[in-house]
Amino acid sequence: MITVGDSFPQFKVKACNGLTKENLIELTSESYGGQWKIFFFYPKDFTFVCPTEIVEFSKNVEEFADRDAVVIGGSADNEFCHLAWRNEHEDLKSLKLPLIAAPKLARELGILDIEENVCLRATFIVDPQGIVQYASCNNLSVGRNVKEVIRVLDAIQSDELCPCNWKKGEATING
Amino acid sequence: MENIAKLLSQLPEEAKDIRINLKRVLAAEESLDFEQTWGTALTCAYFIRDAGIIKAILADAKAAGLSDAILSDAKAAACLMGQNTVYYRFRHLMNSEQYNQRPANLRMMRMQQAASSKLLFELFSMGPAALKGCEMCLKAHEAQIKAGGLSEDQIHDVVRISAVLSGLAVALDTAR
Repeated sequence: MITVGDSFPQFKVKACNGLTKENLIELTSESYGGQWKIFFFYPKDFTFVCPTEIVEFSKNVEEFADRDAVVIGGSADNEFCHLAWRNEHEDLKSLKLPLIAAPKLARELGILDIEENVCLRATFIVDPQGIVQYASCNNLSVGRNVKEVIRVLDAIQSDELCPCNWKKGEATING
Repeated sequence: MENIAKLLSQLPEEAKDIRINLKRVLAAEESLDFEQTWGTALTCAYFIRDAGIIKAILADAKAAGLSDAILSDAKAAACLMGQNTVYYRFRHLMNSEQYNQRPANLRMMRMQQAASSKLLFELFSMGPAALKGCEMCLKAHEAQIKAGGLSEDQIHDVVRISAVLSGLAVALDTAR
């Protein structure tokens, strides 16, 4: 599995970003340039645990936006399947994030379950340079805590950038 | 400097020195160019938190043609210094490894996303460092600005602007 310090794979995928065919779009590694990206993968459309998590990510889209981050959900299902599911499930109609169709990307990330060939519940935080800063993976049945993802993002972004953060042993501030 | 002139006209006779000093430090006839001067003045005004001073300096800075990027950086520098001068001054004054080794766990992303330039942002931060008054903070920022290629004359003039604006805030209160 791709992990911290690795480059997130280049990709070009179809995505469902609404409730009609016009909302089927293409996303690439270059989409949302300059932003942090949160990728979360789930096993299958039309299952029970998934919408809870997806809705929770969607509810927090503004929290992520405040942190210069966009949220992208995805599974190995295709975009038409995502579209059908979003139309079928009441909670998914107002979703504020795209769902990508990512079987190839999932394979490259190393997050496909060997038996079922579906995505494990993997989460990645990717910095604006495309480097993975956080990677985690739950088994098929364990849901995620979105607050925890925000906490991790905050911690990653809380670099002490002020010159006042001078520590003993570093080059002296006088010279 | 129309708006500042109006503000200065409210000052009592006792604050005459402040009035003259402010005109001098903002005239940009010193070591700083007009962007450095007005950006510094605006950052300090925000940091001092006097609504009248902010309003006047903002209006005159815009009239002088200060770019949106610098207006934005002045705001950002003032806000982050509002936070960092408290936090790092605590660390510096306590001088304890117990605190120095703890991560601040505070966001300050905007510091590396300067809209104008990193060096200008750093220069704007110097005023608040002087206003808050912590030896280590002053030394740290001063070293950073010099490393960026600016001179002691320029740093000195930034601190003069912050000092006069501090005096102006007091003087205005004496007239209220």
